[in-house]
Amino acid sequence: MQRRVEVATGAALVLAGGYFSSASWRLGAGPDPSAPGPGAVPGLIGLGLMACGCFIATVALLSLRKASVKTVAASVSYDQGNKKLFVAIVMLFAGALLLEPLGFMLSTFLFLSIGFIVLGGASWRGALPAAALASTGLWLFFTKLLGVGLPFGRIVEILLY
Amino acid sequence: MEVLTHLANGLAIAAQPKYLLYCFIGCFWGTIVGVLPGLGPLAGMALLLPLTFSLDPSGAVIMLSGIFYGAMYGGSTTSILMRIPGEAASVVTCIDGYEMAKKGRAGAALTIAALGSFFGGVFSVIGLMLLAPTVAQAMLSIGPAAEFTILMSALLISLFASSGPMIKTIAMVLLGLVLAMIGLDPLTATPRFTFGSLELSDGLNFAAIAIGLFGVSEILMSFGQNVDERPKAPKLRDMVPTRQELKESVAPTIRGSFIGFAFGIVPGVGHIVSTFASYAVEKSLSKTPEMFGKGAVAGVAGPETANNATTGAAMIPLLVLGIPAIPVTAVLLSALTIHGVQPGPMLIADHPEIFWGLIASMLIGNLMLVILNLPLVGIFVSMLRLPYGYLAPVVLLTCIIGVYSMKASSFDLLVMIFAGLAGYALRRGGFDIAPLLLAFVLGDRIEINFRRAMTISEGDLAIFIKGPAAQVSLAIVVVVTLVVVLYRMRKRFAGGKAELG
Repeated sequence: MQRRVEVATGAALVLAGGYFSSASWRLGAGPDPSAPGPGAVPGLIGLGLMACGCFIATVALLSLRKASVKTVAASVSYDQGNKKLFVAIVMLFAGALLLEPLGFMLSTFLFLSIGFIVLGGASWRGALPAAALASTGLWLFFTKLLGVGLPFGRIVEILLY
Repeated sequence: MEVLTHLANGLAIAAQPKYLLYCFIGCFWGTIVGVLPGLGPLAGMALLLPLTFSLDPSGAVIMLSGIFYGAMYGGSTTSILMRIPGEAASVVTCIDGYEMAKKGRAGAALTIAALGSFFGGVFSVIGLMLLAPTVAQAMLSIGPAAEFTILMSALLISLFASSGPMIKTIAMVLLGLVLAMIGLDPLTATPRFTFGSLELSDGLNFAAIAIGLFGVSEILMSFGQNVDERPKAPKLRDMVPTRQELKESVAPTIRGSFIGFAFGIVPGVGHIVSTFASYAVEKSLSKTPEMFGKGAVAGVAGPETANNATTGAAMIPLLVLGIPAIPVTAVLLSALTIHGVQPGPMLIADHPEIFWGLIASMLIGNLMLVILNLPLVGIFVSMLRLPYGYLAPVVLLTCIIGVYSMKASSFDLLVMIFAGLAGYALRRGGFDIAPLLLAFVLGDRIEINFRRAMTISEGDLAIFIKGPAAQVSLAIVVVVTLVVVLYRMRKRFAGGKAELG
C-alpha cells in the first residue's frame, strides 16, 4: 500500500515541479545572475522538485514490481477506518462550504450530529442533544469569551430581514 | 545586574492576571495535546494560533509557548502509563517509564519526569536569559548574504533531524519553499502562481496550511487505529519517589539539562535528538547499564529533563535570529509576525516587554505545570478514556472555526482541507511533513535575501561564505553532518555485528 502511495506522491511532485518550473520560465529568470527575476528561484526549486519526485516514484515503482508477496485482503477495521475517513473528508468539505449559508449554529449542529453518529457510533438520541449543547457552548466560547466573529447564516438573515 | 532588572520587569508583566490566565490556558491545553496520543505541540499550537489574534503580542506568545512546553510535560504521562508517546520527544521515556509503571512505580516515574522537566525547563530559561542578549548584539551587523546562509544552514540541518528518508525530506523542503512563493513577488510585486485569484495574491495562509497539515491530517490518520488500553491514574500517595529513586535521578537531571540545552540551541536538531542523546549518555555512564530497558530511574530522569531543556534553548534562534529552530517555533514566529513584531537581533531592544515577559512567563509556567502534572494527573488520564470518535468531530470543527475566524474566508477553509488531504497522503507515503512547514515559513526570506545578495555581489556566489556569521553557521552544518554520518555508520556497524552474532 505504502509503495503505491509513494508512486502517486512522486508523480504528483513531478507534476507540481513541472508546473512551477514552466510557470517560472514564463515569469522570467532575470537578465543576468546579478539581477535574478521573479521566476529564478521558484524555477530552480521546481526543477529540484521534479527530480526528487521522479526518483521517489521510480524507486517505489521498482520495489513494487519486485514485491512477490501478495497483499492480504483488507481487514474489517481497515475498511471501517476507510469509511470513517471518507465521511470525515465529506464532512470537512460540507462544513467549509455550508458555514456561511447555514450559519455557525446550524452547520455546527449538523456537523457534530453526523460526526458523533458516524464517527463516534453514538445513537441519535445521545448525539443530537450533545451536538446542540456543544454547538451552543462553542458559540458562547468563541464569540463571547474570545470575541471571534462567526457567521449568523445567510438563510437566517434572509428570513429575519 | 542588568539582567535581573530586566527579569524583574518581565515578572511584573507576566504576573498580571491576564497574562497568568493566558499562560495557564497555554500550559493546560499543552498538557492535553501532550497527553492525547497523536496530537503533538505543533497541532495544538496551530489549532490555537488563530485565537491568539485577538490578544496582544505578549499574550499570544505567552499562550503559544505555554502549549509548547506544556506538551513536553504532558507527553510523558501516556509514555509512562500506556507506553504510547503522547508526542515524539517522549518516545525514549516509554522504555524505562513503562517498565517502572509495570513494577508499580508509575507515580514515582511521573513525579521524577515532572521534576526533571521542571529543572530542565528552568535551566533552559536561565540559559536563554543569559545568552540571548549577547548573541543578539553579535547578530546586529549581518547582511542579506549571511542571513541567507544562516537560513539555508537551518534547513540543511533539519534534513538530518527529520524522521523520513533523505530524498523525501529534500522533496518536502523544496515543496515548502515553492509554496511560500505563491502570491506577489516581494521585490517586483509580479503575481506568481496565482491563477488570477485575488485570494492567492496574498499567498497561502500560514494557519490554514499548518492546521491542515498537522491538525486535519492527524485526525484523518487516526481512523482505523484502535487504542483499547484504558490507563489507571496513580494514587496521590504513590506519587512520592523513594529516597533511592530521588538520589538516582539527581545526576541524570543535571546532565539532561546541559544536553537538552546544547541540542536545543542548534537549529533543526530539536528535542527528539536530545532525548536519545541523554538516554545514550546515561546508559554509558551507569554502573548498572543492564537495568536500562527494565525500569532504570536515570532512563526517565535524563531524557525527560533534556526534552524540556530544549524548549528555552530553541527560543534563542527564534528570538535572536528570527529563525525557527524547529517547526513548533515556526508557529511562534508566525504569531509574532502577524502581530507586526519581527523576531531578530532587534527584538530585545525594540520589544523588551515581549522578550522578558516571555522569559518570566516560562518560569511561572514551568511551576504551574508541576502542579498540573502531579496532583491533577488523574484529570488528564481520564481524558484518555474519551472515545476518539467523539473527540475527532470536535477537533475537526475547531480546525474549521480556527481558520475561519482569521479572515472570515471560505477560501482559507478549502486551503486547510487540501493541505490536510495532502498531509494525510504524504504521511501515508512515509514523508515527514515537519520540514515542509519549516521551509514554508522561511521561504520568502530565503528568496529575498538570495536575490538581494546576488544584486549586491553582482552575481558572485562567493558572497554567501564571507563573514564570520556565515562561516560559523556553515561550520555547524559540517559538524552536524559529520556527527550524523558517524552515528549512522556506527549504527550500521553495530547492526552488522549483531547479525553476525
